[in-house]
Amino acid sequence: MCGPADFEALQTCIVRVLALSSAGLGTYVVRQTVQALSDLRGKKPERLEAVPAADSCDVLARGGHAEYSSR
Amino acid sequence: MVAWENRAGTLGSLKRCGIALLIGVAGGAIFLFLFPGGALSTLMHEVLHLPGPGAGIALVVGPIALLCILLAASVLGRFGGATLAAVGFSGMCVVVSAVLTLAGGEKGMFGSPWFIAAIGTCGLLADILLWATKRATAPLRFAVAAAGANIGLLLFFWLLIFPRTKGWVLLQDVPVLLAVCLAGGLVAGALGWILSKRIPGILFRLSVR
Repeated sequence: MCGPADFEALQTCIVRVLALSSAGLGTYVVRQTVQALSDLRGKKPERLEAVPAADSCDVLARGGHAEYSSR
Repeated sequence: MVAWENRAGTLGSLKRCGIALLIGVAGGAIFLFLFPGGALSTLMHEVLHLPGPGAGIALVVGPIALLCILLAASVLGRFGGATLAAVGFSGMCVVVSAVLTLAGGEKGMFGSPWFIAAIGTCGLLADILLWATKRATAPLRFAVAAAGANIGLLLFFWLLIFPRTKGWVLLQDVPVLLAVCLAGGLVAGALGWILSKRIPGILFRLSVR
């Protein structure tokens, strides 16, 4: 790179840096959001497991916990 | 010490060589996209008021190239990864400059084989320094390799390229430019180390300890 000052090229450079940075940041945010949502969905089956069974025999078959034997 | 995750034999090594090369190529493309002709020189001399020649090499070209070089070295996990990426980076710059007949690269001979030689030497230096510091901790290895290779790159330009295009650097500008070069190299080394720990498994991330 040589010659006289080229502020137009510098302006283009700044715009491109900002654009690339925004794209990178946006990608990172999207990726983190998707990961968080996947983790959230991944936890739901565990919560369903913790819901007490209507049938007490079912609870006993599973070796149910004391907190589910209160009915 | 660095522990390499060696997935499978030759095919895995070839794949990683390809990835190391692609990292360099991608880095070259990004560099050319971000810095159109004249922008680098204007930024260094008109905005930052740094002396020349060599400020752009020390603060921008070298660190960006070294970031790609160190990432590629992490991916390949053996001697040669940095050199491969350096060749990819500089080759990309030369090819794109030639195809698009980009203007503004005459001072640093960006479109010439001299540029490939310069960046290639930088990559080789990084490989040698990474190998020489293999008993040190990873952050130190990256810092030494990046700083040393960046200074080597600047010296290459000062001794072999700039005398043909711009002239010799003034003695009174040498300390400032060397300090800038060292700082740029250290920043590149730090970023390279941080990113090398975060690259997804598809790039054969290494466990660095």
